[in-house]
Amino acid sequence: MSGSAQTWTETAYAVTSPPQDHDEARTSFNANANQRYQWWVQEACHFIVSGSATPSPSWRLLFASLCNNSWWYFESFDFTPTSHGTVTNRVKFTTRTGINSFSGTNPTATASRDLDEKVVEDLYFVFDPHQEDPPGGGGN
Amino acid sequence: MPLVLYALAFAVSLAGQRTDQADSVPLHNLLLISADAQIVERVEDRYRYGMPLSELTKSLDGERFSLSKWGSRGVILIDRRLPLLVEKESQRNLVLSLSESVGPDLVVRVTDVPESKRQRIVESLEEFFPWHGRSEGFDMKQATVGVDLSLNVVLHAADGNQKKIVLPMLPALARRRNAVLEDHPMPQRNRELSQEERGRLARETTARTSQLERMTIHTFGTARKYLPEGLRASADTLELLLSKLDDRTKEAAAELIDKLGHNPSLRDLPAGKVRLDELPEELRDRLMNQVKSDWEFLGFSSALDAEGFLLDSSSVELSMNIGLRRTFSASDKQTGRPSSGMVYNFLVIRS
Repeated sequence: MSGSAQTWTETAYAVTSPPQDHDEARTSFNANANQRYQWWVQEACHFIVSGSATPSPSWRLLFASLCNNSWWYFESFDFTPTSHGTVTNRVKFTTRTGINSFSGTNPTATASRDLDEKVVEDLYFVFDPHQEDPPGGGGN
Repeated sequence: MPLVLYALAFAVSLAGQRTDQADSVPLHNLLLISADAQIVERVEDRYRYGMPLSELTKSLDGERFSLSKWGSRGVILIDRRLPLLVEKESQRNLVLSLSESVGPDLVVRVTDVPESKRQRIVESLEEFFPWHGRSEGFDMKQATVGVDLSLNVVLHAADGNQKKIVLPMLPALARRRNAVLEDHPMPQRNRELSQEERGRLARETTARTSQLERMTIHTFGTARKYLPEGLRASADTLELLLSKLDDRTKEAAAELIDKLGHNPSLRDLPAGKVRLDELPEELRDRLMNQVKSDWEFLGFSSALDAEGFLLDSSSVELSMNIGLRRTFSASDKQTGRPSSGMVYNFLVIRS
């Protein structure tokens, strides 16, 4: 084994999937007029790296294990509607993927890693006052 | 001809009333719907059994009432200031005010709204977010809010099962809007309200709601003998009035949506239940993506299951939500923490 450490240089970063915007529904509940509601929501983010097969064991130490992260964001809400309605929690987030390529020296090697990222941008809720009932009167 | 149809066919307004032969027929039956005690008193004061209709109409404020002839010797008066009707008119005025005030980034800066329109928007914000408006240190006249559009899509399965999907509209503009709103947050609550304040606010909002639900029916002459028929005719007339107001609101909403550059236009959305393949292709694609994203929320076992439900649906039905967005807290660029906020959908427009 060589006495000097192996060094790596990034050779390319290619976006394999451009940023995709998402706006998704999570949970919902019915709310009564003039009643106070306090609740919280959580959403996971991640920045995950998965590496290509490579004979170099030090590659995983240098890149993969250092960049495999996921975490949660929490938000608490406090809302008192003035009419009956439905509260729906929603989240806006962006995802993107890419490939990072590296070349190593001493000894010579190549490696790449797939990047998978989810960035949460907005945690919000929608209130829909009950405006409609099925026809027929009496809610029937 | 049934009385109901008769009343509908001859529904006319007192405004611009023509005096014709029918107006000179003795008025035996009068049915009044109003929530205003003074109006009831005024009609009581003016009405005499057998008086010609023209005489009654001359003595009343024509703009205030909707008048429908009822049978050969009856008339139904509906007070146009019924809270139910006023609320509809008020929603339309809000849409018109927003249409004039909203910027290309979907943002409404209340301070920039012309004085004549500002009050309507401020009243709405105080109605939608009353607990916030009462908090210390915040004036709704200084608020910055955003317009939010979303599409409700109800999928009907052949077995009667149905699922409702919400498609956020104008996502690129919504992103710009949210970036602006982050600089003008409206905290959820500036301070805790006391028990007494909470009680007072609850009473006020309850009173407003109950006022909306209030109307009384008054009979004059021999109308009470024909009350069931009169109620049916009144209900149809009221429905007609509400429907006309809805049409006017829808027209105002269509202008707002066109101004914001929404495609397809509200006018182009198919009405009623249609087949999935009758929707524009772009809308179908977005719907497919949203259904697959929201599979868990919609109660499916997988995205594939959700996709299957969409493809097998026998019909779809569309409506548009118009809402106001407020931002509670800005995102943190250092930590990556997301922003937070809410959308209050104040109007649903059917295509």
